[in-house]
Amino acid sequence: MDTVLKLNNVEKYYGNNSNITKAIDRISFEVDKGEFVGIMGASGSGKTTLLNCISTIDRVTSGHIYVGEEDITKLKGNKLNKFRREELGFIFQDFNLLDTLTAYENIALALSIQNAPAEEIPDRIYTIAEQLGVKEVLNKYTYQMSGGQKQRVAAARAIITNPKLVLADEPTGALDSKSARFLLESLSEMNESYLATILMVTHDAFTASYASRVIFIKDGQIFHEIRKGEDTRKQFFNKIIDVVTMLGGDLNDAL
Amino acid sequence: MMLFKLSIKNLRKSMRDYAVYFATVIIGVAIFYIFNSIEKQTVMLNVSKSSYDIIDLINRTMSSISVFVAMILGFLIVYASNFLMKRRKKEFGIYMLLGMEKGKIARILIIETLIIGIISLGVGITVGIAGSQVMSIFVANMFEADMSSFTFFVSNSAIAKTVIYFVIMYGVVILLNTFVVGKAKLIDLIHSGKKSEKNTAKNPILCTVVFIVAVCVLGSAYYMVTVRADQILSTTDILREIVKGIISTFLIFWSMSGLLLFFAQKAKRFYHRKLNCFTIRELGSRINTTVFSGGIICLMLFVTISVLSSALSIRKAINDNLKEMTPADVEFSIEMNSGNTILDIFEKTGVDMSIFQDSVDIISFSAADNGFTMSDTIGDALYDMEFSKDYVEYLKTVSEEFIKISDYNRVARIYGQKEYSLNEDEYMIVANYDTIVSVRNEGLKRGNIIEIGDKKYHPKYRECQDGFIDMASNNTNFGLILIPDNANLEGYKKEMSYYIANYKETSEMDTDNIAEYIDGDEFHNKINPADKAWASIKINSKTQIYNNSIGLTAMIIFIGIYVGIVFMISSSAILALKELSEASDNKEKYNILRRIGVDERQIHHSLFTQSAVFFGLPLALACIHSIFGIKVCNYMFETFGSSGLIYSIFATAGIIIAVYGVYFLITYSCSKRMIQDKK
Repeated sequence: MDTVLKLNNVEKYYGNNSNITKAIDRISFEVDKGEFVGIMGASGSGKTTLLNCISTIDRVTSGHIYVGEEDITKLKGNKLNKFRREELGFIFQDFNLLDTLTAYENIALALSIQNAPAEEIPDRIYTIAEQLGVKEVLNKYTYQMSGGQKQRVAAARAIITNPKLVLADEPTGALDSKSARFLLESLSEMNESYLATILMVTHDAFTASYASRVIFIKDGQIFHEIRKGEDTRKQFFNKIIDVVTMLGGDLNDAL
Repeated sequence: MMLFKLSIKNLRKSMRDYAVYFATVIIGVAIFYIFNSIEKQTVMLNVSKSSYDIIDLINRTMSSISVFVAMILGFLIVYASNFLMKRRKKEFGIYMLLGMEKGKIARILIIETLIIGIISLGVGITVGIAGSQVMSIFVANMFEADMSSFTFFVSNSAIAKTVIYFVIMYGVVILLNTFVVGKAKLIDLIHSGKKSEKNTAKNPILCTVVFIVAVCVLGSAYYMVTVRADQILSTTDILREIVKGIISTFLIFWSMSGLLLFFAQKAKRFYHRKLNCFTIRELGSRINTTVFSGGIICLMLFVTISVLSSALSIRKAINDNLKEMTPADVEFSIEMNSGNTILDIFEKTGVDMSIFQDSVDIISFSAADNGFTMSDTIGDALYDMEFSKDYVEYLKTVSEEFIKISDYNRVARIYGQKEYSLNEDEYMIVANYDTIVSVRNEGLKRGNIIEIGDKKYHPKYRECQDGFIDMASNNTNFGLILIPDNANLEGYKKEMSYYIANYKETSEMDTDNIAEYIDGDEFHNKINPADKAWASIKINSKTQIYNNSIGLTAMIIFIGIYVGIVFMISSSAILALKELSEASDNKEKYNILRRIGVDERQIHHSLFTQSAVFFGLPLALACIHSIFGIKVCNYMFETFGSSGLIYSIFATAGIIIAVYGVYFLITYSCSKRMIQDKK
């Protein structure tokens, strides 16, 4: 299978000479096309920093990150923006939808900044909205939608451009359990039917159990990695809980 | 001490973000000082006595206008401080959460206001003192004053006045702030950080309807004040049109964003191109939250444009007209109820006639019972011109003045104007007041025949000819009827006596001395003694008309610049404040755009478009208003002529583009900095 994402000895330091914090300490892993990878870790473990580096919002101190064939740590300026808008899709904990725009326009914006032909836009949006169950709210503004609907609109915005990689940062963080489940099922479906490659950061074992592989991070290093394989989601969840227990008290809130 | 430190820190932050506003307040103080120190400026300069009277008048006018200007500046300061208060609710919430009492928060605010007040007054007055020295040169030029004795000066009374007015303004701010803090609830303060998610988008159909209605109302107001301007006579008529204009301005602002969105969304190709959709939505929400201030700003800009361009065009017209309108050195006139001509009176009062040369004296006539009025010369045409009843009645009371053609020609010769000849049965009219000329022309066009002493006369020309006898700074001749010398004037009385002359140098006096003597009180009292048996003699001398015109010009220009600049900087500052606060509120939105991969260039492009439209909209509407407003002003001031219109419009546009443009550019670059990614 093709490798979509490859991290090679990535390091990220904060602070100055006298006081260095290693947020990411030599992390390497690969993600194949069509994989749904979860990254788990406690607050401060470096998982969000890692996501920021992959999404080129933050720069690595050393090491390389390849998306497809391209080394994105070498990209600069408008090339970075081009990379973000063409190869990546984002889902954030706090939705990051624009409140003056309707759901439809929020999704359309992702296409229009790529200069997609205006005639194609409606069909593409309706298809994806149908799939994610947000067709009824397309003409609503963000404040008229529930948290779950907002996050699914955000997911639609992330996936509509057919990105190589969808990055999700605590996507269920602001949702109630029912909406969270609905969203995760949507993500799984996106993963299966569009073969979308998803990299999801979370500290919640339930959320992580929807992934096909979970990488555990502790103090900036990879601590463990487990794959779902042939397990049911329930079994996989139990395995994750085992690792979390092993990781120590830091992740107790996952229980 | 702790409170003081907090205040200073807060101030530094808001001064950086809202430097445009603080600069505006300082400019406001400076301008306020400069215009109130004109008195002092002129005392320091060597100006002639007659100029000094005018300056006195200007001073008094400036004082009353200053009250109005102070109200505008006060409004700006209160608006802005209210606005800055709102933005700091979260900060106050944190103070309260930490256990600070409301009294202390109020004290922080008082300290801040005091500091702002002291700084703005200090810097503003300093700038004003420097500016007033420059202004003095301008004033000196205008009054042809001697600058040799010029010294650096400071006007204490102007400083005192400026301080008092601004202390009152800041006092109001302190009261309001204390009130707001006293009323505030902790929960609201804490939650104010979260943006109130309010739907500002409006129903596009409703907006379109409202817009069309507003445009129609505005159109009818425009139509009434221009095409049918001659029918608007009473104050209520004018007020009605003004109110229509104001209401439709607000309605246009109310409906503008909906309309914009409606049409933009119809153009799908355009709407879904790059950031267009985002730009239009943002713009819509901004316009929707500034309907009221947008309308006010539009109206203020409108007033500014009209006042400035009228002031400039009047000034130009006066300067251009003056030479033409005062072709002789002096002209005397008197009503002849007593039967005395000017020469009779000069003889009685012993005026030395050797100071005059090229003199002409003539008399004019009118019907003995004043029964020959303008309505008779206009004839039937009067009733076909759709004038209001009041106006027709008025024209029926204006008694006509007749002059024999040879008498008029003698005056025309000394004035260097065209001479005329008439046949036995002909008459003609000379006039130069445009409105009346156009009314009279209707009658002449139909060849209206008049009857004098049982003889019929028909007009030689089908329109009024240019000319006058009374010298004045502008065109005020309502019309003189010229008739053949042999007309039978039985039943007519002598109306006016005129005496026109140039000055002649004598052994004791040169012409400048004579001019001063004629304009002086001594001569005036001599020919108009307290126990005189005749009506007062009116003196129109070239020098006096010149001085008065300069005074009038100066006043018009001072007021135009004063009010214009204050209006303009106030409205620009309000727009800038709004725009900057939007930028800081929307920082997160731009970050979202960055995250989904929008180029920095496009973000700036969107921001620029938003600012440009936001600044441009009130100006555009104000310009449209002004096209008609200036027409009305022209109509009102048409005695001054409209020779300088193009010039003044360009000059006004220049001033507005300069001031408004600077505010726009500063605002744009500040908001660009605000939305910059800090990382």
